Amino acid sequence: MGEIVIKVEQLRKCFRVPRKREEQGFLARLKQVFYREWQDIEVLKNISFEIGKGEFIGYIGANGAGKSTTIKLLTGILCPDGGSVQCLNFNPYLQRYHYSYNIGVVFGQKSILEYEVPVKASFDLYRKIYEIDERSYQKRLQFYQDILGIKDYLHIPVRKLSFGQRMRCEIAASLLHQPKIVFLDEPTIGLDASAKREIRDFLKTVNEVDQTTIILTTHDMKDIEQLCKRVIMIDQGAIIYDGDLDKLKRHFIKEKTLKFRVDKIHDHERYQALKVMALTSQRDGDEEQWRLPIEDIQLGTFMSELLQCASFLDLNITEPELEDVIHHIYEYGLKESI
Amino acid sequence: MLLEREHKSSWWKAILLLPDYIGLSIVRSSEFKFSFYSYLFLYVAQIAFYLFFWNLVNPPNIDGWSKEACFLLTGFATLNIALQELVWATGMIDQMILKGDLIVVLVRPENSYFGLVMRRMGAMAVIPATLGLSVVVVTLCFYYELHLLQLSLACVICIFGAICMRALMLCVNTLGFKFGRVTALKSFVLSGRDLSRYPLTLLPLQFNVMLSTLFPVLLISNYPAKFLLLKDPSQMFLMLSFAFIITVAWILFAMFCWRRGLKIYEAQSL
Repeated sequence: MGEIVIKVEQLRKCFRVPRKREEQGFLARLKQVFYREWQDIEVLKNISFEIGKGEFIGYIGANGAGKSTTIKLLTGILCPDGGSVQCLNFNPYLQRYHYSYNIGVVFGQKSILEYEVPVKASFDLYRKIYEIDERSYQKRLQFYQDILGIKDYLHIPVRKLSFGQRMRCEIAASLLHQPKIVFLDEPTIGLDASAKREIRDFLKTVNEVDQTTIILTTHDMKDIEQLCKRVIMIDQGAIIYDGDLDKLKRHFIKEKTLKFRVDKIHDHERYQALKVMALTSQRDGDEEQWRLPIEDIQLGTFMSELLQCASFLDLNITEPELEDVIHHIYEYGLKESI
Repeated sequence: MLLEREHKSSWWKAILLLPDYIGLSIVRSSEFKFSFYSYLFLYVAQIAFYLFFWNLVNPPNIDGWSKEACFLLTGFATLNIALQELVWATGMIDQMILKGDLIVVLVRPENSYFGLVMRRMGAMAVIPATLGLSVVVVTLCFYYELHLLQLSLACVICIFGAICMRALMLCVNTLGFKFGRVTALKSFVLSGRDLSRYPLTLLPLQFNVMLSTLFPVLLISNYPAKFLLLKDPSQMFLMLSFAFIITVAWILFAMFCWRRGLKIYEAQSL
């Protein structure tokens, strides 16, 4: 990790929510109209992490885990209840105005563009808000037109754009001022596959070309897999994993699935011996499916022996999707999953 | 890592951005033509109705409130309500709090409150404001004398009134940070604003004080209309000073409420 741009120490945030009453019935409901009990819910429980310049971080967790709250604390929207946040040497909440010149934020479900006016009018307004000089603005605009293909929509009112077109413009508007840190809260939500791919490519380019630090919050594991080297996983307000995505995958992916259609078996005895080594074997029509424990067997040797004892019409090796791994961790927790 | 360059202060930038906000507002207003024309018709109809009403009821001319003074009142009420339409978004803040829309402004280098209101500015309200002012000028020309300085100062009081009412509305709305919906309270404030179409200074002194300080409806159109009827400069100075002090007090209180509100903001959306 190079220069530290975000430093979070023992960060805590609580929300006050009404306590659900046990009592049922009309009187209990009537009582609730006049009197309500409150409780504090600790949404973030003393989390700490550091992020270096140019890193592309996947910040993931189940719904209600505390992802968006962390982003809101890092962007200065919310005031922390404990601990400290330092981003680019700013305290985001106390120095929000000056800090916001250095960050770009995309909320997938909120629009920053003016609904009734053409996209370009919103861009021009942002140019003045961020005090971008005309030359840099034109250069940046050209760059986004080329890479995001937004040239044709610039003079159309936002309300007439499709969701995918609007989202491209939203992202461009958030990055016009070339921020040092970009926070993306579910930027690809609701987009089709091709729009998602374009936005991923764009983010990758921005990260590589400008050395922009990007923090991405999403439920789409394809986004994470294709963009992030490091992931921070949060569960019930606490960080349960912070490290390499590859390491996480290696740690959890302990089996591969072999699918094949046999043409002819030459050595039945050897074939059966190999089949026994699989965790499970299933047959669906003429297709066999074996789950192989990759820690117990040498996959290369196993495959070469299999190819010697039979000839195949079709053969395919797959590993579990990252989404399944993450789902498993959300469901059973990190320790149980290990 | 320090600031690479000095940036403009949030208030100064807000002022510099005013032409852009006005431009955006005009484009936005002309996008839905029917809404715009019906909005203008509403104002013309309101003015016509009130002028007809004062012609019909003939006020008793107590404390200077003759029919002509009530025409002035109608003109200032229209001017004032139009000025408030200019910054109508002040009345929407509780909705923005509830829907979580506030976060969009809070992450930009803008004055959070001013940016929010100015982005939704209704610049076309200048047209009904001109209509209201025209009623005042025509009434002065026909029934009184037109003194430009006195008229300008009366307009300043009128602007103070609009600011005070929006500040009061902002205070009510910032309760949304703590309580969520504040619809009934907003209706209460708006109904107070409607009272400004009638000569409230006819009421006892206690009501006068309350309506010009706690609920500054008196400042809205009663004070500017009354101001035009004054002859004594010292009384004019007193009225102007009073309106100024009340306005500053309301602005400071509204800013205090807004900052307190942001501190407890939870940014959870519907």
